[in-house]
Amino acid sequence: MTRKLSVVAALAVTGLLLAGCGSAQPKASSEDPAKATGEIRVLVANFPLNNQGSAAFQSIVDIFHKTYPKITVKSDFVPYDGLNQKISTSLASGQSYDVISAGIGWVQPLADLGAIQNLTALGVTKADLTKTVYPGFVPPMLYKGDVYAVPVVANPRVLAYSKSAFEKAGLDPTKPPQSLAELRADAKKLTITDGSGNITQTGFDFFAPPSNYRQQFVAFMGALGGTEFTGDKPTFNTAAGVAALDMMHSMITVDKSSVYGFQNSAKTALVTTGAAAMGFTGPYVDCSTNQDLGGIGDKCKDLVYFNLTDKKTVEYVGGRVAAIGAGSKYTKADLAFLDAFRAPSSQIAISKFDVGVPVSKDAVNSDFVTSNPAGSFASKNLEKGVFEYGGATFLDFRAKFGPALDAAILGQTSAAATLASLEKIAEGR
Amino acid sequence: MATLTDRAAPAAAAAHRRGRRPSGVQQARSRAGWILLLPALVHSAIFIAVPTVIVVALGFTDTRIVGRGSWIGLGNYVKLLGDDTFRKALLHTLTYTLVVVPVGMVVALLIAIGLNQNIRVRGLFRTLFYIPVVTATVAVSVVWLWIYNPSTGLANEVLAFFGIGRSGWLTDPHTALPALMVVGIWQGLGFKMILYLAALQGISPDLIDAARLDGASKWQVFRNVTWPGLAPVQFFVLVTSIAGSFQVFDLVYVTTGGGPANATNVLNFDIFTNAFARLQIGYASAETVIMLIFVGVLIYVGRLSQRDRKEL
Repeated sequence: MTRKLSVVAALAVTGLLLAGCGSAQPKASSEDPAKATGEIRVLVANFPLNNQGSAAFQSIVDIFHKTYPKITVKSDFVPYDGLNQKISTSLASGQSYDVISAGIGWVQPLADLGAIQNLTALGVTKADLTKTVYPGFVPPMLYKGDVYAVPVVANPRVLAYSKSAFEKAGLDPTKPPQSLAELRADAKKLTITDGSGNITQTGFDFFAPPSNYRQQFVAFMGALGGTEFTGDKPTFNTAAGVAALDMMHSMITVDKSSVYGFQNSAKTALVTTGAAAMGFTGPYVDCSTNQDLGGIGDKCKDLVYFNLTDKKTVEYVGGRVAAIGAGSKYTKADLAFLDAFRAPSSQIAISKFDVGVPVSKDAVNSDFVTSNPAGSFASKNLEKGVFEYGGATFLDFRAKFGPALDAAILGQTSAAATLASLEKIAEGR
Repeated sequence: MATLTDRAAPAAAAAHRRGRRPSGVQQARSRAGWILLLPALVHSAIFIAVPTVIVVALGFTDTRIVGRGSWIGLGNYVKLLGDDTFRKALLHTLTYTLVVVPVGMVVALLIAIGLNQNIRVRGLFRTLFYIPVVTATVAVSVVWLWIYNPSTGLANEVLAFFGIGRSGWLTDPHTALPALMVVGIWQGLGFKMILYLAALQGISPDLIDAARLDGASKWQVFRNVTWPGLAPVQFFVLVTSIAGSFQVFDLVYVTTGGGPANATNVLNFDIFTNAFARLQIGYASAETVIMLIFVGVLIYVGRLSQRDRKEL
C-alpha cells in the first residue's frame, strides 16, 4: 500500500513538472511574401475589445494579408497604462512582440532600451515620413537621428466654447480668448455656482482626471512659447513652464472656475454636454441626435472651436505610432504590417474609436475629417501641434509628471519647485 | 479514543529521541510523506522561494529590464531613503493598515457577536455581510467610484440630505485615502466576521452560563470568557488583515491611480509604478524587500501582543 502510494506520488510529481513545459510557437520560415508562413505577434495599445475595435484591427490584418496571405497575426490589446508591463515582461521572457503600437512618447525610451528596431536600417527614412505626414510628427519618431517608429493616428485636443454661454456671460461669441490671461478672465465670468458654492457651470473644463493634467500643461506652456523637451533635453523648467503651471493653479484652485479632476460618468468633455462653457475636447464630436450613443445634437451648432493663443498659437497633439519589436526576425513582414497600419482606411478606422484624426497630410480633405467639425478643425491645425515626448527618460519622467503637477495645481508646492524637481528626474539625476 | 496512528506517532518520536533507527514501515511512511509533499514544495520553490531570492538580488542592481543591469550594492536602498514619493507611500500604507486593521477587526467582532444571537433571518445577514468578500475588488472599486462621484454620487447626496457640504472624495487629497479606508474596512468585514463567528460558536456555553451564575456582568463575561476564547482566531485575523492591508493595490489602481497628487499612493502601487511605468525593476525590487521587512515586523509585533504564546 505504502509502495503504491509512493509510486502514485512520484508519477504525479513527474506529470506536474512535464505540464509546466510548453512548446514554442513556430515562426515564419520565409520572407517571400506569397509563401511566407508562420505567425507574427502584434501588441496594440488602446484598441477597445468591442466589435468596433476588433473590426478595425481585422481590416488592418486584411490589408496585411494582401501581401502576406499565409502569415497569421496574433494580437494583444492592452490599455496604455498596461503597455509597459507587456513590453517589459515580453522582453524578459524572450517572447517579444513583432509589432508594437504605442503612443508618441514611447518611441525614444523604447529605442534606448533596445526594445524596438531601427527602421532606418530597414529602409524607412526621415524623408519618407516627411513626404507623407505633417512635419511636426517626424521628430518624435526619431532617436539619435534614425527613424524608430511611424505615426499612425494623431490624437489632438482642441478647445471649444459655447456661443450661448458666452452671450449669457456678456462675452462676444465671435471672439475666443486671445491670451491665457483672457482665457482665465473669461473662465471666471463663465463660471456659475449655486447658493452653496457648488459649480453648476464650469467656466473652463480641463477635461482631465486627477494626476492627468500633463497634456493640458504642455498646451498651456506651448502657448507661452515653451516646449517640454528639446531633443532629449528637458526645457520645461523655464519661465514659460512656471507661468503655465501657475495659470492652471490659478484657474483651478484660486478662481475655482474648474473642478479639479472632475469627469462626468461618461468621461466626455464637459463643454460638449453643456456642463462647461469652455474647455478642452477631443477631435471627434458626435453631432447626431442619438443621445444614447453620445450624440449631442443641436449642441454641435453651439460650439466654436479655437486654439490656445498667447505668444504662440498651439494645438496639443498626442498620437499613436507603430514600431517593430527588437526580437523580431521577420522584418519585411513587420514592415508590411506597419504599412497596413498606416493605410488611409486603417487610419480612418482607428481614428473613429481612438478619438483621433488621420496623420497623413492628404487626409485633411477626406470625408471622415470634413464630416465632423471638431475633426476638421483639429486636422487643419495639426501643423501647430505641440507634443508630449522627450528622450530616453521620458517614461520614467511621465510616471512622476502627472502627480507632481497635481501638487502644484492644488497649491501644495510651488510651480517652480515642482518643475525643478521634475527636471532632475528628466535628466536622470 | 486514541487510534493506532495516534499512538504510533508519539512512539516513533520517542524512538527517534532515544537515538533508535525508525522501523522500515516508518521510513516508508516518511518517504511517502515527502513524495506527496514534493509537488507543493516544488511549487513553493518555483513560485515563491526562487522569485524571492531573485527579487532580493535584483534589489542590488540597476536593472531596467530583467537581464540587463549591473551591480550597484546598496545604491537603490540609499536612493529609496531619499525618495519622497517612497516615504509618502510607506506612510500612507502604514496609516491605511493602522486604521483598516483594528477598525475592521472591532466592527467585524461586533457584527459577529450580533449575528451569534438568535435573531431572525441571521442567515441572510451573514450572507449579505460576506458578499463583498467574494466580489472582485475591481467590481467593488467601480461601484465605489460611482458612490464617491463628487457630482452625482450617492455619498454626496447623503451629505446633502443632512445639510453637509459636498466633498471631492477621491479627487480631494485630504479625503481620498480615508475614503479608500472605508472601502477597505467594508470589503474585509465579511471574512473577519465569519472567522469570529466560528470562534464564538466554539466557546462552550457552559462557561458562559457558569460565569453568569457567578454573577458576572455582560462585560465581565465578554472580558473573561469570550475574549480569551477568541485569542487563537484573533492572531489569524490580525496576521491576514495586516498582510492584506499592506498589499492593497487593485483598489488604488482602479479608483485613484495613486492620486490625487500621490495622496493615495501606497507601497504596492509605488512598486508597480516603479517596475512597470518607470521600468526601474531593480529599484522596485529593493522597495519590495523593504515592504516585506515591514510586513514581517508588523506580524511579529502582532504575535507578541497575543497573550498565550504557547498556543502559537
